[in-house]
Amino acid sequence: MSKNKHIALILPDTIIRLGMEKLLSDFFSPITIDSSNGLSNLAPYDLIITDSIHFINNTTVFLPHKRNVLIINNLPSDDTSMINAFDNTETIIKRIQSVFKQPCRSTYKDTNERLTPRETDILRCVAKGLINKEIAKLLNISLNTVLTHRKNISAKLGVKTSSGLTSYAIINGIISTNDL
Amino acid sequence: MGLIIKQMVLSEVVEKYTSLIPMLNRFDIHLGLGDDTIQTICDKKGLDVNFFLVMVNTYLFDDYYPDQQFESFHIGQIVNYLKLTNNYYQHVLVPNIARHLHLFIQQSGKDNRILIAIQRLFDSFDQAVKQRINEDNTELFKDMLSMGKQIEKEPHLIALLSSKNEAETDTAEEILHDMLKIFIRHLSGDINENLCYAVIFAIGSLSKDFAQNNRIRNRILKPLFTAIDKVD
Repeated sequence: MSKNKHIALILPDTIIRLGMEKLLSDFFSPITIDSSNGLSNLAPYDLIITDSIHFINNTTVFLPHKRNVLIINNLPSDDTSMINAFDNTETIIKRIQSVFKQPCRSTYKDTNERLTPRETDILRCVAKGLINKEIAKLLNISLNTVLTHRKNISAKLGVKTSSGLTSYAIINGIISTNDL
Repeated sequence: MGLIIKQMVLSEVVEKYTSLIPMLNRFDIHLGLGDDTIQTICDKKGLDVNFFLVMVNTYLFDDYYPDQQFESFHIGQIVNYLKLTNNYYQHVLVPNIARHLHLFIQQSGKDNRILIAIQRLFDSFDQAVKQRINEDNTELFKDMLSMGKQIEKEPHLIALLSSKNEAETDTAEEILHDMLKIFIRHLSGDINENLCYAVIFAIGSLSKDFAQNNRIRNRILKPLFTAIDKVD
C-alpha cells in the first residue's frame, strides 16, 4: 500500500507555488501538500520546496532537512538540490524524484519512536549490567525474545552497546546512578 | 586523483589527503617531504614500495581491495605499523577526546546525571581500547611474528582477527559509535555546545582512523594469514 508523500511548499510567489502544486499533483500523486508563503514549523516532510531567499534567511531551520530540500532559483545550476525557474518539466520531475529516492525518512521514523514498557524493562536490566541470559531468566522470557527486544531498542535509539545503552538510561532517568 | 602510484610525488598526495600524515608517521615518514616520489622515499626508508602502496590505498579508499600476493616478511612491517597505530591511539587520539570531554564536563551545567553518564561511557571506551591493545601485544603480534617465521601453524589466529560479533563484550569501535550517537541524538539540557562540538570532532577523528586501520587488518592481514596457512 503506497503512503501519501508529505510535501511542504514554502514559496512567496503565488504563480510558482500554484505551478508546483499542479505539477506535483499531476506526476506524484497520492500526495499531501502544505502550502504557505512564509516559513512554518518544519515537520519531517518527504520534500520541502522553497526559494533561495527563504533558504538563505533561515539556513538553521532548513539545514537539518537539507537532503529533502529543493531550492528554486533564477540562475542556471548543476546542483541537484536546485530547480531553475526556467527548467523544463522533465528536469524538474527528475530533481523531485531524486529527493524521493533519499533513504532518510526511516531515520525520522526511528528517532521519533518511543520505547515500549517491555523494552524499557529490558533496557533497565542492561543498564544494571545483566547479560542477555540473566535478563531472560529474570523476566521469564526466552533468550530470543530478549535479543529481539535489544535489536528493536538499538534500532530506535541508534545505540548498540551495553555501555551506550546504560548512558542513555541514566540520561533519560530510566535508571538512577545509585542503582548501578 | 585516482589510486596512489609509486611515480607520484608524496608531498602532492599528502596535500590532497592530509589524513595520511599520522599513517605515514607509522612508517617513519615525516613532514618536510620535499619533491621526492613515493618510490624514492620508500627506497630511502628501506620499504617495499608495492607493499607500502597497498597499505596507503587500503587506508585511503573504502572501495579498494588489494589483489596482489604478499610475502611473509611483510608481517613484521605490518606488526610494526599496528604497534605504532595503537601507540598513536593510546597517547594521542584517546587523550585528545579525554581532554575535550573533561573541559566539556567542567563547563556544562550542573546536571550531574548526564555528566556521570557521559564520563562512564568514555571510561568504558577507554577500557575497551586498552584491552584491545593489550590483546594485540600479548597475543596477536606475538603470534603474527611467529607465523611470519613459519615456526608453527596457528590457524586459530584468523578467528582472533575477526570482529567479536558473537561475544557480549562491546568493541571500542562500537562504544565510540554510541558515544557519537548519544552526543548528537540524546544529549540535552544546559551544555556547552562549542565544547560539545570539539568532543564530537575528536571522536570523529578517531572513528575515521579506526575504520581506515580496520580495513588494513581485514583486507591485508587476514588474506596474509590465509595464504600462509595454505602454504603450511
